[in-house]
Amino acid sequence: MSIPKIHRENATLTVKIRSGFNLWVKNIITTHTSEEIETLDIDLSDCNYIDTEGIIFLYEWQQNGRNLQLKNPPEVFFEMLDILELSDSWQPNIINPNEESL
Amino acid sequence: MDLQIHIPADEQAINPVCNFAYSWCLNCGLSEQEASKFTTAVSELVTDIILFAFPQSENKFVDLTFRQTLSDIELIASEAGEPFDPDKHRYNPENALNNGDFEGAGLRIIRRFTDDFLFINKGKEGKEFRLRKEVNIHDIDELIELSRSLKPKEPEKEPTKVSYSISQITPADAEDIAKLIYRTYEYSYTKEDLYFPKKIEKTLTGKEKLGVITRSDEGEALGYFAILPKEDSNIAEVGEAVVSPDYRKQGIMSNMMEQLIKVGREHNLEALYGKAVTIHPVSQRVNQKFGFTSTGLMLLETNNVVFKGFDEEYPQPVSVVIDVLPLQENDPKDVYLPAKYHQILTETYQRLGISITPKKSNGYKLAEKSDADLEINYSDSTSDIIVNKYGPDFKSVLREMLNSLLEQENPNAIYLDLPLENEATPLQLKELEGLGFIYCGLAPYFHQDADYLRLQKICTSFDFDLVDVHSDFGQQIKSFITNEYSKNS
Repeated sequence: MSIPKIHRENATLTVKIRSGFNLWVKNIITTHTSEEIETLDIDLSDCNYIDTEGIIFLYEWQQNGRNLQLKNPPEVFFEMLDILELSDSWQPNIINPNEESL
Repeated sequence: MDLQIHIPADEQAINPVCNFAYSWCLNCGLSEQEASKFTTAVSELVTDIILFAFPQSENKFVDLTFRQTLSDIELIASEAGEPFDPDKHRYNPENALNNGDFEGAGLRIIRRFTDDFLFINKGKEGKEFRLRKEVNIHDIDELIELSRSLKPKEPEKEPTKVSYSISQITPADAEDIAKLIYRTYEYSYTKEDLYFPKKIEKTLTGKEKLGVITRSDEGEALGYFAILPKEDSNIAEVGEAVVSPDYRKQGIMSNMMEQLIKVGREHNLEALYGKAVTIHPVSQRVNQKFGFTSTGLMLLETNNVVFKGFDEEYPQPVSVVIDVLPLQENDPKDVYLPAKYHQILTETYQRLGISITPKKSNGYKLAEKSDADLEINYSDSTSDIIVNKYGPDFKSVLREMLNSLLEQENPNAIYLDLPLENEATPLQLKELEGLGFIYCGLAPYFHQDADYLRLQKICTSFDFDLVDVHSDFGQQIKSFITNEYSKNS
C-alpha cells in the first residue's frame, strides 16, 4: 500500500509517507491541508525516494510561515537540497529518532 | 532484458511506476541509495511528461521500457505529447529562492542522478527520453575475493600438452570462466562483466549466452568460447574467446569454434556472426578458417580496445569487420537492392550462399508515419538506428534523431539499418543524401530475421590506413567504403 497515512489533530497534520513522495502524494496531502492546519509533521522513515514535487511542497510550506517537522528523511533528500542549492537558505526541522537514541 | 510498461499520462501512474522502478533497480544490483536516486530521476521524468507533454489531453499514454544489460540499466520513455526541449528549461537557483520559480529543477536532478540523460526528438513520431545508470556491484578485486576465486598462477613457460574435452557451459562454470579471463588478460579485457562470476552465472542461468568450455581430464578449465543470441533476431554473435596461455597452440580454440557452430545449428540459429577487430588480423583469420564471410566494415565501432600483447597505443576507436556464417539453407528471398550498392550487395549474398531474388519496386505505399528504433552504445560512443517502417516524415524523423545524438552524445559513429526486404528502401535511400551516410555492409538476418543494408555516418576524424582487414573480400569492402568516404568528404 503506497497511500500515505494521514492523521489530523487540532492544527497538526501528521503524515506517514510510504515508499515515495511525489506529485500524487503531494496532491493527496494538499487535500487535507486547510487554512487551519499550522503544523505539518511528516514521517519519512519508510520513504525510499522523494522528488522535486515533494521537496518544493515542503519548502514552500515552511516559507509560507507554517511549521514543518520531518522525521527520518532519506539520504537522497539532503543530496537534493545541495543539488538545488537550497541547503544554505533552508534548514527544515528534522528529527532522527535513530540518532537520538544513540 | 527489456520490461515494458504502457501507462496512462495520469498522476496516479507515478507511484506504481516508481515503486516498480525501485524494486527493479535493487534487482539489477544497485545499492539502496543508488536505487533511490535512479527512482527519483524516473519520478521526475514521468511527472514532467504527465504535466507538460499532456497538459490538457485525456486518454494519452506513455511507453516505458526498463532495459537491463550486464553493465547498466536504462529507462526509455516514449511519448507523442507536446514538443519539448530540455535545454530551454535550465534550473536557476536564484529564481527559485527569490521568486519561487523552480522551473528545470527536476531536469537538474535527473542529470545528477543518472550517468546519461538523453533526449531524442523524433519529429512527428514523438519524443524519447533515456535515463541510464551504470551498475557496479563491487570493485573487481572485491568481487573476486568475495567469490573466493584465487589469483591464478602465472603461466608456465613451456606449452603443456594435455588431454581435454569440450562441453557446453552451465552456470556452475561461471567462476572458472572469470579465472580464465583473468589468466589471459589480467585486467585488460574490455568486457568487464567477465570478471564477475555472479554476473556470468546470471547470464548463463537466463540463457542470455550459449557457449562451450574446455577442461582437462583432471577438470581444470583451459578455454572458453561463447555465442550471444541477438535479442531481436534468430542469430548469435561469437565472442569472448579465451584459451589459458599455458595450453595454447594445440587446437583448443579451433575445436571450440567447431563445437560452437554445432551448438548454433542445434539451436536452429539462422547464422552466427562475429565482429572482428581490425587492429590485428587474428580474429578475422579464425573466422575465415571456419567459413565466415566478411559482409561489412563498421568504422570506429568500439572505444579503446586494449589487448594484452597487442598494440596498446592504438590511436583511434577500433573498427570491426562483420563476419557472417549462415547455418541454414534458405529459400530465395525477395530483396530490393539500391542501385548504388547493388553490385557489392549481390556479391556479398553470393559469397554467403544466401539465395535471393532481386526485385524492382513496383510502387509502394508509405506507412502513416515512420518507425525507427534506436540503440545507443554509451561505452563505445556509437548508436544504431534501425528503420522498421518508412513514412512521409522519414527524412525529418531521421534528421531530428541525428541532431539529438550529435548534440548530446558526441558519438564516434552512427549506424543506420535499412530493411532490404522493404520495397521502399531503394527510393528512401535517396532521401538520405546530404546526411553524411556511407556504405557499411550487409547485415543478414540482423533484425526480426530479415536482411538489412547497414550504412554509417562517421563523426570524428580517423586514419583508414590503421584499419587492418584480412580477407580479400573484406579488403574489397574497405576499398568501396574508402572511395565513398573520400567522395563524401
